[in-house]
Amino acid sequence: MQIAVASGKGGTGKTLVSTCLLRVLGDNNSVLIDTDVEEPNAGLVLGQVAQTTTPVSRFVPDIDPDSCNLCGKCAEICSFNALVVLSDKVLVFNELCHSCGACAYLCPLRAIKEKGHPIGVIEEAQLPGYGTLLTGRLNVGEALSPPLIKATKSQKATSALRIVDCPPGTTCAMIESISDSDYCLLVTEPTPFGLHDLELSLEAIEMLGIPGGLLINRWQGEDSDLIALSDKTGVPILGRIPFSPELAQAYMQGKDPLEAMPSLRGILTNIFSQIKGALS
Amino acid sequence: MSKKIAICSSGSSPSSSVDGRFGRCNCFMLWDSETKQYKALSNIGPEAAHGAGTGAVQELIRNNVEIVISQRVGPKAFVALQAAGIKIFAGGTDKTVEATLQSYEAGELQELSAPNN
Repeated sequence: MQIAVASGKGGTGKTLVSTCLLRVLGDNNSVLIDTDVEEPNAGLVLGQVAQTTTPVSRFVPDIDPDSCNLCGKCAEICSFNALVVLSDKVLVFNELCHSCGACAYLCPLRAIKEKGHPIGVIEEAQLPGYGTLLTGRLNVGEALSPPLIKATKSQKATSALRIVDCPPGTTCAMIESISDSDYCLLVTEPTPFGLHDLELSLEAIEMLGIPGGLLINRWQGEDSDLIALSDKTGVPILGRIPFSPELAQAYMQGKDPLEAMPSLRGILTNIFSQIKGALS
Repeated sequence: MSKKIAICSSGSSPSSSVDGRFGRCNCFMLWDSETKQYKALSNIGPEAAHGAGTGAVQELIRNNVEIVISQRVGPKAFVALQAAGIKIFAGGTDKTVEATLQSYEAGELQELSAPNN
């Protein structure tokens, strides 16, 4: 089972929930996948250092100047304007290229080959008793994260429990992170910002046909707007984590949040059984 | 010798005000110094999701432009314009296309030596 933990708004508690879900549910075959590749932090929260690091590349065009006659077809068909054909050569802007391969496929002279462009790494850390942490880490300066997210998610595909700690927002990175998941747990907070971005996330999971549920973090009693949204969309509220400075403090100090708030274990166990129920 | 000059414009007339952006300017007004005529070249940039700047450069190359006048040019477009041998002049805040061209011809505009956006 693959559960994506997403939010819309940043800072609602995705990594808190993902890492605690692993602590509560994980066994040696479980995997936590940190796909917030621009700023992965699950390893930091779990106090883990990567044991192995695997480089990831994506394909960009490599033009053979001896075969190219500067016809301009590649620049014409590139949806991302990653190629500019000059009078004497072709410029390739790797950072604009989306690795679709259309230029190489459609070049009339077959003058374009695809070459690897390094974009980041997959780090793997063993968590004795809980399973494996897979972290995607994007190279500084790279703009395109989905190929790295995809590569990171392709690891350990047969694990019985896969928890994906997603990046915030509803851009390509979030879509790539939640896609192929059996369930999407949306962590939100009872603020206007949380509500606004939650609405966008709900549209995203609906478009992808992924069943979802809500977890309200930093709950302080008043959540009528979230209840109304849940009623309107039919996406259930699965649980609430009460606002707790003690929990926040322990989390920031790298301590186990389940010790700072023992009731969290029950909240998460209950959420997991509701998810299992929804999927059976 | 004829020269083709592209001026980033907000509209398709010489009396339109200049557009401060390069890749996402509304259109380019092309001035041909031989025929003394303007031609409006629509720019796909405002609609482009990605690579508006490089796409605009390619379009200027197709139209044999040698000089571009824009207030701001980003790093990728700058690299492409330089490689294509197209000179970039900065100028024309709050001016019309026509007035900007006059400033250029009077030698009042500065050539850009680095991206400024």
